[in-house]
Amino acid sequence: MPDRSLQTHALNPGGRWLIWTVGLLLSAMFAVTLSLTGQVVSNLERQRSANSDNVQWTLTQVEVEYLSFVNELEQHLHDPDGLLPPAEDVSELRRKFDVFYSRVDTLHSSSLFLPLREDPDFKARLDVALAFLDRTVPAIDGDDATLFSEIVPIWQDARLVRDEVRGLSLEGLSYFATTSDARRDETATTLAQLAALSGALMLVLAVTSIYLLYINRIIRRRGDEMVETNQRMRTILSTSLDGVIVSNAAGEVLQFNPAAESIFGYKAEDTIGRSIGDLIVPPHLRDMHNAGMKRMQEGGERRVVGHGRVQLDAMRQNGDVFPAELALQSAQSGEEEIVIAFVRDISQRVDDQTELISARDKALAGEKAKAEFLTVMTHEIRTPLNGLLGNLSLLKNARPNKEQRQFVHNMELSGQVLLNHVDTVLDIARFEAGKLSVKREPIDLGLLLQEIVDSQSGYAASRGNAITWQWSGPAEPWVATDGQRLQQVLLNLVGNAIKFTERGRVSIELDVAEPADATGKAVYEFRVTDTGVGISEDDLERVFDDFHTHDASIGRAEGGTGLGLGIARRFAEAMGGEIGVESSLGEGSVFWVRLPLQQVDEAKPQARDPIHAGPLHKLDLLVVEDNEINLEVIRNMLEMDGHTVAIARNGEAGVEAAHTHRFDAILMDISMPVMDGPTATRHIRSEGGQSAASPILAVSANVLPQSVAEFRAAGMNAFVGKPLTLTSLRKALVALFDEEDGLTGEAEDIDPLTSMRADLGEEAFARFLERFRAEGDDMVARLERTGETKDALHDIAQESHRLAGSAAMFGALEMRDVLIEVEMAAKSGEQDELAALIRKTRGVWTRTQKALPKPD
Amino acid sequence: MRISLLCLSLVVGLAALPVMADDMPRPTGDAVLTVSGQIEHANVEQAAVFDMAMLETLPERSFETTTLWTEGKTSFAGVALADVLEAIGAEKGVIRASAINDYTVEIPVDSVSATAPIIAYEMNGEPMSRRQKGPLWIVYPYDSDAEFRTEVVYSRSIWQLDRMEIVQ
Repeated sequence: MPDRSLQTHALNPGGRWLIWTVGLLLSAMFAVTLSLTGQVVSNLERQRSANSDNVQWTLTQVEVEYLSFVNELEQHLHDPDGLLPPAEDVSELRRKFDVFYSRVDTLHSSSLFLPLREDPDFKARLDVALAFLDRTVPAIDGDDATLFSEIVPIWQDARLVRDEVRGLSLEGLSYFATTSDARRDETATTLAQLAALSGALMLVLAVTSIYLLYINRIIRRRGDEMVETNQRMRTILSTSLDGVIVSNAAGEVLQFNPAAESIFGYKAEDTIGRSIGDLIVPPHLRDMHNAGMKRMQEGGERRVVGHGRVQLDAMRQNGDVFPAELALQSAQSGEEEIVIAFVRDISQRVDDQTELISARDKALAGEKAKAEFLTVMTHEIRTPLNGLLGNLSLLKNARPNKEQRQFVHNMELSGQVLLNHVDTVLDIARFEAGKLSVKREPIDLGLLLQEIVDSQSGYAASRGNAITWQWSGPAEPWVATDGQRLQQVLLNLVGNAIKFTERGRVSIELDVAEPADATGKAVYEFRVTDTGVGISEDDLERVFDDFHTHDASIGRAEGGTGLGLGIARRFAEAMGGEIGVESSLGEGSVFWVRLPLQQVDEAKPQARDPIHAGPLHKLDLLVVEDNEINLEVIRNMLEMDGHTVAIARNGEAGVEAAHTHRFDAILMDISMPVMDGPTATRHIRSEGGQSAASPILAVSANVLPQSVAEFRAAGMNAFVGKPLTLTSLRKALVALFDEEDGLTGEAEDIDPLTSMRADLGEEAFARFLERFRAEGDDMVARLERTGETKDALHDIAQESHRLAGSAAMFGALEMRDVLIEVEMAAKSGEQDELAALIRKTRGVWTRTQKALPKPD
Repeated sequence: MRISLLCLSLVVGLAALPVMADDMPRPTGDAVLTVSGQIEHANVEQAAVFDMAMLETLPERSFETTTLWTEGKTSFAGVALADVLEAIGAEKGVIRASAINDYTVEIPVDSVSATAPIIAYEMNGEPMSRRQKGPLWIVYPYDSDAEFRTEVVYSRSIWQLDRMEIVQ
């Protein structure tokens, strides 16, 4: 907005530049004109106060007075024969002399004639005249008789200076005439310049006027456009469905559109100028509103303005408070900031939402209640049903007659069917309620299938079907799984196959579809093939849905609940596998189940059996470990045995903890940031804290003999290798308290994954596995883009060490080994070797990941 | 002969004027200034004749100024023309001031202020001789105001003043 308004008012840059230039030009010309005018005025002034006329008068008067004086002299020269006698009175002569004297004296002393006196000719003539006067003064000032007698020589003398006196006048006049001409020329030139400049000024003014006219036109056009835009804006405002309220920065309403009128119930004219807070903000929000306005006025943080839509309570004229959706935007309107509020009444929407949410909550609660009811009811039904069936078997032994035996038999059959149904429903209810558990125990798959075939052969025979099972590949029968669930899945499939096959064949095939990975997990595929009626393509997708029956009449005839395949699907998925079917109508079906199963050695003792290495009371332990996974694993294992566990994430924190608390024993990782294990041990031993004498158990993947010696030297009492198992941990702790010397350097030779899984429980194991995968991915990615600086190498060494610990924990020994090599190379700074190892790490990690168990 | 002509014209002029009282003291020394014409007070034959002593009884005015006709700052002392006019009772009309060589200028009475011009009788503290534009010189304080530096004022600055006539 501010940019726009600038654009509206400003001319294009070229125009502005032009205005500046013209302005400067005009100012300059004006200044010059002023100065020239000043010059002319001063010239005129000079001429006004000029003295030239006076000068000329004075100059001419010199000669006039000279002639007057000579004439007076001549009055006294008349010879005796003349018309008039010579004058006796000489006072007039003295007066004429004085006047002439005063004229010459003026030439000599007046500042007017200063320039003229510098002219040597004029000066010479003036000197002659002055000399004459000086010569004559004694005679003039003498008594009358003397003067009278001197008249003739004075007259002759005066005649001699006549040319000089005349010259004085003429030269003076010509000098001043020249000066005057020069000054007039100067004035004329100045006036001409002034005229030229005035002309130029007029021209510039004319050009400026034309330009201003042009600008005026543009401005008028923009004005018209603005009026049009305003008109459009008003139309938009008045037809907007959202309420639009415009206020100034002080919160006074400037505009209130018709939609706002209908939302709030005010007339627009009643709202103009009033505080928006008083109008539409409900009392409980007013403090917040005022605080927000204040913040905005002070230019502080804006929590609502410009932050999109927010939902707030608003108030109508009648005081009703209703939920509104509000978007605030601020804009610059001229000098002032305005705030534009877009308001939408969302009370209907909020009501609908509330209703929906409550409906959903009710439905969910209903579902849950139903599931719980089912669980409870089926359980409650089972108990008396078992009682009934038990009593029926007792009744059978009470020597009933033939007819009675038949009744009892029928009742027993019905009771069994009922029990089956109840069990099925109970399984589903448990599954839905999230209470289904999957056990893990070693079983022989061959044995399992044989039992199924045996149990179903009677039923199959009653439908005229043959039933068989076989390995389709090499037999690998021993796996650790929940045998009961697996049996249930397969029984469902087999029962289903028999149900829909008459005088046909039902065969079960089994093979290992994907061979065992590094952790011993293999994918087994079970196929139940029949030669029955088959399933139409339309039904294929739905056969695993609950309550789906292929044919209502058959379903009823066979007493199915329609839940069988649904349960099979749930169990298969719960065990991490998948289930499916292929079929063609009239030719039969193949139901298959693929399950990842942990292969176990038939002869092997079961890893999950707790090993009681010796009586161990509850201990107060400190675990110092920087690897989060390892830390959690160790802690879980220790807490499982009832020990109290404190943790520290590096050597320094460990030293601190050991200082203030007496632990029964400390489990210490070797390589850690901040302070490593051996250093921390030395500190604990030497500082004399609470745990200075407690046994310290080294926990490390590094089992080289020299390292073990090093640990002992640092003051560690025993050693347990990674990967850690509950058994090895227990053994180490027992050994520690038996003789406090377990630094044997032997890692447990045990399948670490199986034992860890068993030790930690499925859920925690899956969590740790996920973390290990993430850490591994991260590490490999980082190795590949890492730099070669010293810091980077140090980081690589540390990270490799950490991940090596985790890898050992998951039995990924190849990965552990390559990471240890990376660590060594990084520490010794062998760049080439490090690069090769990093490339190798990628491959090893890919293999390791494949070998890791899939998260269940 | 010139003198007799002058006397004749004076006599004719005076005869035409209304009779005025000779109510001013008569001059005792040499006459330096004779004022005639439309005046109310006279002492000699309907004219007011001043000797230097009579002028000196009027308030003395003095100032310093440069002039076109002297070198550097010059101090002048004399009587205000206005005071002289008041002494002879001339309130309006034009003063025709004449020098000993008959140079004559006209000064309107209206243009005469209380302080300017003065009829100077001393220049730089000395009485002025005839050879120095004396004994009387009408002088304006040219430096004090541009008004006094005009052609008209310069022309009115008449030196070797010896008579004035007040005419309508």
